[in-house]
Amino acid sequence: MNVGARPDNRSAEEAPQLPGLRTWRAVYGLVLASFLLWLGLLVALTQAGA
Amino acid sequence: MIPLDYAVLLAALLGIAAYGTWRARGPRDLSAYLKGDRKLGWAAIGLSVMATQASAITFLSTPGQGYESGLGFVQIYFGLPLALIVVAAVFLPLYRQLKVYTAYEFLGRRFDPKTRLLGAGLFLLQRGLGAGITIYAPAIVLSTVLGWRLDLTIVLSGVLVIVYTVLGGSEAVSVTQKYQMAVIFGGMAAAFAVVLRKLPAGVTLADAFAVAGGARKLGAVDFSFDLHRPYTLWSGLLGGFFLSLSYFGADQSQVQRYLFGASLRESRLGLMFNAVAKIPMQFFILLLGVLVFVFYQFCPSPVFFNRAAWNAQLAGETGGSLRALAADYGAAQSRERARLQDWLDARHAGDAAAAAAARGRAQAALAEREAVRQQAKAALRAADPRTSANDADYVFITFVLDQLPHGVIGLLVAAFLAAAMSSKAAELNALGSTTTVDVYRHLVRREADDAHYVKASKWFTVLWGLVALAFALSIHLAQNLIQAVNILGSIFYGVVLGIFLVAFFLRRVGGTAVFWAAIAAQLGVCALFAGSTISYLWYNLIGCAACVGLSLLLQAGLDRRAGAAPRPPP
Repeated sequence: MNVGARPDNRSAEEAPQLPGLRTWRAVYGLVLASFLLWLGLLVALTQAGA
Repeated sequence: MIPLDYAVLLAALLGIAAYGTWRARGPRDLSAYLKGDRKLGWAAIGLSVMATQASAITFLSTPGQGYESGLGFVQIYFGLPLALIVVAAVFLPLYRQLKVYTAYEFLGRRFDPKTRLLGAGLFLLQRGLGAGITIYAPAIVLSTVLGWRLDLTIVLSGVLVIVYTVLGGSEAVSVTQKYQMAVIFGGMAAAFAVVLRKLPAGVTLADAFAVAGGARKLGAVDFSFDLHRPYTLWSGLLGGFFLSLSYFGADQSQVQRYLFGASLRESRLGLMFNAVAKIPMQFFILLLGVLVFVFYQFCPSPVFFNRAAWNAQLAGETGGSLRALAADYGAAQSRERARLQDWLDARHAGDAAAAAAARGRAQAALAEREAVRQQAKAALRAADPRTSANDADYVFITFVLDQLPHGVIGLLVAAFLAAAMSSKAAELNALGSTTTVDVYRHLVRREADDAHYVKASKWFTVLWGLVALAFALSIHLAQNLIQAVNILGSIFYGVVLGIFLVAFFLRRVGGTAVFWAAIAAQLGVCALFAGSTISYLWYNLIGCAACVGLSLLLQAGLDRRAGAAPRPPP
């Protein structure tokens, strides 16, 4: 087996099966969006406390 | 603590350990013992990953960080969500596809046996030392504050973890972690509620945030590019990314947590749960420390939170000057309290100009009080140079013991010990697995039945538990405990991650090149640690970049020396 190769991510068990999120790319996008939201909140808190 | 607290403490700790052992009872093959039969859902995996990372230090020491330095420590986690996405998208599918027991087994298949051993060796060295700190850190604080014997605290909590980890294997670790996290969250939520309720009458949550802001405790994001500052947005994003990628992708104590999910989906969702929840969780723990700081602006606080160390010097030659400093501190506290009340009164009256002036006077009073505290620390250190001037780790436990109702105190102490045990169990489980799979089965006994390897794994787990106990009984740490753990990890993680990144993405590089590049990079990071003052978070980036860069250079040299065409992909 070529262990350096990327695995096949298309099998049925790999779908996230979350409402409104059909692909893992959408899940990762949501995770990044939640991080950016928190970052924004923390920046706002920093500026409010300055 | 009164008998009720001890009853809550023992019921929580022993009950969870006994239940975990009972759930994982019965004979199992090596796969079931090390991977837990692959039947866990995403919530259990997510909590297990979280519990492994969040040790007692997280809950004892992080509020102290918030008290001393504000929210800035949260930046260390900024790289974590992106790192977990990379682990879920790239590392995890490959590990599952290859059906490996350990992350280092993958290195053996991709490169060669010596690189596998190097990866496993770096993990065993780093995690073996880390396991000692994991058990020492809560023990030193709890034994000092509660008057328990340090050696007994270390040995008893350590032996309990060794017993259920050895008996139940990976499944017992995961089952116990779920309930340990419930105790931890319950305890921290109770502490949060109490600190809010204990704010003086008339002081609103908005006032508390204003006071914290006036004391510069709300600075969560630092945009400066100063390499010597420990926590900035950039060190958090870059250094934190590499630290998290290495920890979650290449540290067996974490890999073993998500490898045995019921499916790839469950494991991925467990990781994504952490990617979303980790920053808010750390923020609230730091905020708890900030609110404890605000609470102590209105209520008397000790001049030095490690009361045992302070009281020990009161009887000595410097006792008189220490008492005088404590009296000065009390007077400075009273003045500051009056200035703060003036400021809050002006705020409530809506007089912006008066509020701004009063804020300045309150800040000056706070600085004056802090100066007395620093003098007291210096005097304590002069009286006994072995005493650590850092009392941040004692802030939260002091608040818990002085302010929380009985029963809840027992719950909080149980939460600290449960956190210590959950991360310690995962570490021992991973150390035992790695020693069995990557060293014993690979080098010593290649052909044996599963029963033999399960037995060997149990003995290696016991052995590592004893090593960790011996290390915990012999160390003395002066600095902030959560920082010590992160520094230790950062020294090794960058290089280990470099090896894995080469394995995943640079298919032309072979085992010999990456092996020597990793050794050179590790020596370089050790030299950096010994001789430079840059923030430790950068070690992760530097170690990783050095390992990858040197691997490419060495491979190019090897190709040229061989006079052959570039090495084909394996």
